[in-house]
Amino acid sequence: MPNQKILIISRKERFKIWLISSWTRSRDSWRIYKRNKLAVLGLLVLVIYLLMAVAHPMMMRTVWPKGIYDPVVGYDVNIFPHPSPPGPGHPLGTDTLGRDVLSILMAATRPSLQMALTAALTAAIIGTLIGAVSAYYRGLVDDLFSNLADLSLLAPAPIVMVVIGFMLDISPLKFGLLYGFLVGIGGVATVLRAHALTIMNKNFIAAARIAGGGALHIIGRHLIPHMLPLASVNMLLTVTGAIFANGFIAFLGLSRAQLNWGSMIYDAETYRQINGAIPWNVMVTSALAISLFAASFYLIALGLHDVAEPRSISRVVSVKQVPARKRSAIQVSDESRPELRTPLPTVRILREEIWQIAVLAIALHREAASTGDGRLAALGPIADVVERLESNGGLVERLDDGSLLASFGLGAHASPQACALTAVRTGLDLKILVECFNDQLAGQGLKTFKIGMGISTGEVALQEAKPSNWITPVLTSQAGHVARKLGSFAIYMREGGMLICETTYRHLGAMKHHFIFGRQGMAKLPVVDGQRMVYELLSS
Amino acid sequence: MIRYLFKRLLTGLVLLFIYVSLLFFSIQAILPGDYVSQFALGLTPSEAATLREELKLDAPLWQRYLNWLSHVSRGDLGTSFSPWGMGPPVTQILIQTAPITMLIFGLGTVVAFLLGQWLGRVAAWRGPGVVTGSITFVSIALYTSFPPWIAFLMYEFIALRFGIPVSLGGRPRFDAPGVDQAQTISRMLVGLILALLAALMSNWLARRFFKRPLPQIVFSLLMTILWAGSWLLFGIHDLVPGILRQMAIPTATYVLLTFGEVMLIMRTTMVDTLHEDYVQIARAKGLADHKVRDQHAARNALLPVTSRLMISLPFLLSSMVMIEEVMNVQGIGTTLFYAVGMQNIPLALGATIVIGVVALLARLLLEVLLAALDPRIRIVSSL
Repeated sequence: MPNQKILIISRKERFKIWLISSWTRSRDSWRIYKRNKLAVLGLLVLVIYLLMAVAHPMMMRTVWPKGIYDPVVGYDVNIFPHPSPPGPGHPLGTDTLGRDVLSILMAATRPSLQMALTAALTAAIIGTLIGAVSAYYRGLVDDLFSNLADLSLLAPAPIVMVVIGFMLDISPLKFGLLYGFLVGIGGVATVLRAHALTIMNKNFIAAARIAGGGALHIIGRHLIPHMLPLASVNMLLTVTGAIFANGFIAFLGLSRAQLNWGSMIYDAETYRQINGAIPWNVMVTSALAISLFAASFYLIALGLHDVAEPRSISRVVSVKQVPARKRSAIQVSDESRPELRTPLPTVRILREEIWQIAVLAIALHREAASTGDGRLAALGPIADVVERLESNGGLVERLDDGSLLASFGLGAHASPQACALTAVRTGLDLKILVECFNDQLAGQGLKTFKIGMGISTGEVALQEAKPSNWITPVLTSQAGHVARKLGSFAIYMREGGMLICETTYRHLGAMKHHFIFGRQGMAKLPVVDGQRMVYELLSS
Repeated sequence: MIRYLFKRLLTGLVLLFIYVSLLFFSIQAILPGDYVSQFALGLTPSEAATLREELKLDAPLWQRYLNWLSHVSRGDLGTSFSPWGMGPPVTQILIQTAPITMLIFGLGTVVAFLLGQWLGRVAAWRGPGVVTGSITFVSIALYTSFPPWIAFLMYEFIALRFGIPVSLGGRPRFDAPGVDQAQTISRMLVGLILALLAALMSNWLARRFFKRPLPQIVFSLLMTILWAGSWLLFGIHDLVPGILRQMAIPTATYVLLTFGEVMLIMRTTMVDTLHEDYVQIARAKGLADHKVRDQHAARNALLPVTSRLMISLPFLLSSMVMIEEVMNVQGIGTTLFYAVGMQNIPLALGATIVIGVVALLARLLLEVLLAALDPRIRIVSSL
């Protein structure tokens, strides 16, 4: 093996990797976020609210005389009667008590922002921690927290907050903390736990475990960083409910001492009962303010959701779908290319391997029916195979000619890993499966499928639970060393004591080297050479 | 499956019990004074002592708790307080107030679910354009509107303008037997549940024997007819129109506030599913477009919608409560706020238990729905 030496990454180099990767990551995230126009709008609205919160004290100090524009006790003696419609000096008019509406609106922004951010952060932190811990430990801890989450689902957090609002006059900060706590152990924890469970099934967690990573290391370095995007989405979704609950308390007139958009509506309602007229300038603006505030957080959450789960977006962009009604027209009109005239519907296959999985069952069935291949007999009766595929998340459909079609799309990973996992779970022999449909693929002139290349055998190795066959203890500790230096990574294993360690996801942008472990030591190679090397090692 | 549901129900009840016990103590701990010192002003000390004795407020906390617990386990939620001593039994008040909340909540959720998922399906299937854009915009705008504001607008512009009454239940809270209305409403509720179950059953039968589910319009129609039929069966058909008229505005408001979320999730997941390979393959097989849409794409897209709805349940219930408070519907939410405001602890606890039970039942129903949609869950739960 060329360039064999034990590698230690210096602190400086590590910092550089982190810097570059986080820069590229945030640039990519922004690129995805930007595509969602509504999300950009939400961000803009939030910026306007921030400006309002900052501008109010400044306006009070400079432009607006305190006696007239104070949000609590201001009164404009030059106008009669109050409430007055928008006019000079009061761009949104005045309310029944003669206060300037714009001033109150702006003054109420700061406590609302305070409350919203506190609630969001509390919910996110508590939800992430609970989700990570219960997904990692499972068992008793998991049961405890799931029951706690169920408990808080029984007691709707907004209602609880309103009930508390009836009894105590709590400050926005305390409200945010309490609300965040209630939602954090409830809904947010439930969502994040489910997400953490899918992460726990990923390669790099398995690899980190094999490499000897402890609980704290795996949770802190691998699990939580991958949960953060979804946690931030849920954090912002929390805010909508918090704003409404807080506004509702004020709307019921329970926290009139505090500046709040909800209490503006309450005041307007109350005084309306006295003089009959509805002060629309107060009601519409405050209702809009509270709704837009909630909407901005919601829209930002939508945008962040695209960033956190870019699958749907990138697919929408990369697949150019021909609408069904246009499809046949195109095919018929193109005279120069007669092969396009065939009436068969066209399918654009995005990822070849999924198509291969889909083909798998057809191949199995046809071969089993006609030739009675010996290898297939090893898999067992076809009905049994189908049942096993189906009970592991596959959809098996019967085609018109009686053959079967299986695809993996129902929530399971549609990937080579899914194939490997299915093989492990169903107990069907992976090697035979792959061999069988490689024959078919070669017959159709399609690219064949190598176990070593496509399928990360790490999962298989882990499931078979014979690590001694695969890695020596020395190599394990070396892999662990690199793992701790780099953060997230995946290790691909191969029979014969070869290990390939690869950084994934977090450092994708900065990935310059492949680390290859062998019996003799470890090699660090540039990506291009590294890939060639990996390929040679795996296909030899 | 039934064993699993039974287990869930059991854990739910245990949780409810723990929760209510916690609430019992926390309310007493937080509140200053008690009912007598707060609201029965102008009493001489001896009168106050008598009242306390009558309300059993003089016993130590744990004794009151045990006393209350022993009553609850016998299905008796105790007696509410009133300034003159013992008020009407809590159960009686709750029987009068709970059905209307449950009816509006149940009907509204079913309608919002059907409407939202249909709109989401249409939006995703049509792809970007004017229709999709406006559906999405309206959904987001309604979903993020301040619930009392929408309720106010509905009240001001529709109810008042067209003279539709909205306040339901016995209007002065504790007099006059509004029992008649409450009884009718609870029969309507039972009818709704039966109709929903029957419609789901026939959907299952259709899938079993004709290999395809009922079209949504047929499903909705069937449910409506069955529900109307149940009124005849219960002999309340002459009372129902009046109640429906009163219910219309609160229910419509609830639907407006709720369907947006369902629509948005449905659209996102449906767009995702449309690019799944099994949908592509279904198209490649040459299936009709509506078959691909309804049987392949939409069915799988419903899974996340249902599971998300489970998590949103508390928020749905909360917006329901807000609507009640604004529109002066004498439902469980109004009762709860009234009770908490007056420190009427037995009543508040009773109302909380009812809200918890509603949440629990709705959750169980969604779990059944989820299991019906997703075979994997059935397999896991039967293990």
